[in-house]
Amino acid sequence: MIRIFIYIVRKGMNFSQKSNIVAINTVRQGKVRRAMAARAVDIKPEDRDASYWAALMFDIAEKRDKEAFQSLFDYYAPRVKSFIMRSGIAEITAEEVAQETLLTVWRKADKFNPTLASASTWIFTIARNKKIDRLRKDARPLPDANDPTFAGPGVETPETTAWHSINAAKVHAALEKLPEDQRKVLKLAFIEENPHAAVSEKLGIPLGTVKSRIRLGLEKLRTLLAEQRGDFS
Amino acid sequence: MTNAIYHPADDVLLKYVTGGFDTAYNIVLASHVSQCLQCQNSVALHQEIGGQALVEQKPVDMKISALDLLESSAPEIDEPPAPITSDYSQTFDIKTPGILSTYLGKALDALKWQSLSPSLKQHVIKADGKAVARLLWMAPGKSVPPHGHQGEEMTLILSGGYYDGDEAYTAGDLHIADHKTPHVPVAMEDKPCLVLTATDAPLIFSGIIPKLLQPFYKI
Repeated sequence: MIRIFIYIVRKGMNFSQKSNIVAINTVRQGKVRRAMAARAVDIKPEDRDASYWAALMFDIAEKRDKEAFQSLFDYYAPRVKSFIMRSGIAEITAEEVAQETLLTVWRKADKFNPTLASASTWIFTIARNKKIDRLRKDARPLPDANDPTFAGPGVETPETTAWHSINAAKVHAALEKLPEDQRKVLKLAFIEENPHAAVSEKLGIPLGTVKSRIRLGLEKLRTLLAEQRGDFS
Repeated sequence: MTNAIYHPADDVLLKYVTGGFDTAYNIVLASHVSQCLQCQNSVALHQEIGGQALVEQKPVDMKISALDLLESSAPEIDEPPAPITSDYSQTFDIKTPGILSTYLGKALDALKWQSLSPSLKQHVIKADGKAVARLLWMAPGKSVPPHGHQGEEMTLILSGGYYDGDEAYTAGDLHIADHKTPHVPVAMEDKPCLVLTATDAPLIFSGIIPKLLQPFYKI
């Protein structure tokens, strides 16, 4: 009986010692990781998620960290260029638009607000505006209620701060849950110049099917987001 | 914020978010969105999908490095941000959406209006592109002459309201009409109706007199 008791106590001690060691190691690793990654640029590629890009944006805005900008540039500029080229714009112009986009990112980094949008979304919106600027003669800013480069006392009312119930990570998660056909059509639609027609041609499916898949995809996304939040409309 | 009943559909917002519209439509849509929580959420959702799609683009090599870009770029000019003010108009008893104010350049009350008839006034907003945006003012109970559309007509009700067939549109609502059959918006009786509207093709008037006047009024 006593032996059994001792055995249990020993086992228990062993267990707690082990878990202590695990805990200490975790703390150590955490410290090491934090020490190693005092700057976002030092985070390993496999650990890069939305918060990594947001941290880079922060370093660019606060510290004018050129290395952080370089990391951001190396990832996004070639993708922005590709995105611009997809709307039928020549490579040389697409290169310029991508440069202008990234330069705006550098200059307006302090306008980036991670609670409003992910870095990808912010850059997407700037790229889209730069693309349209190229196609316009008018020098005035684009009338876009959510234009991230619109500075100043916001667009309207106190609700502006509350309106973003959209969370980048949640949208990403919800997108991954969509049926493949809907996800494919939705993503293509946001890249192509003439969404419905271009997607129809590219995927070889009728225009009506494209439209209904986009509609169904968005409905499903809203349902998924509503399940997470409870009051999304 | 308004309690709009009529909102742009998803295909319209998709086109808006991806930059498919002329400036005139963008002014109307942005004015609606800036006052509509529901549409702000929808636009944010659309933009997030755009961001995800951007990340999945096949990279195309840049011809310049990040540091060279910073080196070669002209020195940063601290351009003053476009002032976005929201004016209150006594005449119309409304607060103009800030984005609309930017394009008008002055307060609603200070605008020059062009009389199309004793009960109909307009102010054309200069914007790039072939579509035209304008403010239209209708006296209480009066109507816009019967007209149809070759292209899309997008209308944001700023003040008052109108009936169009069986539907009633009031402040904040966005009314999109792309039908070729003539329609006749009739202002509600209680007060004048002020709308912001964009069209990408001349309206098709059914009556002979509006037709004759059309070239002069850029409608």
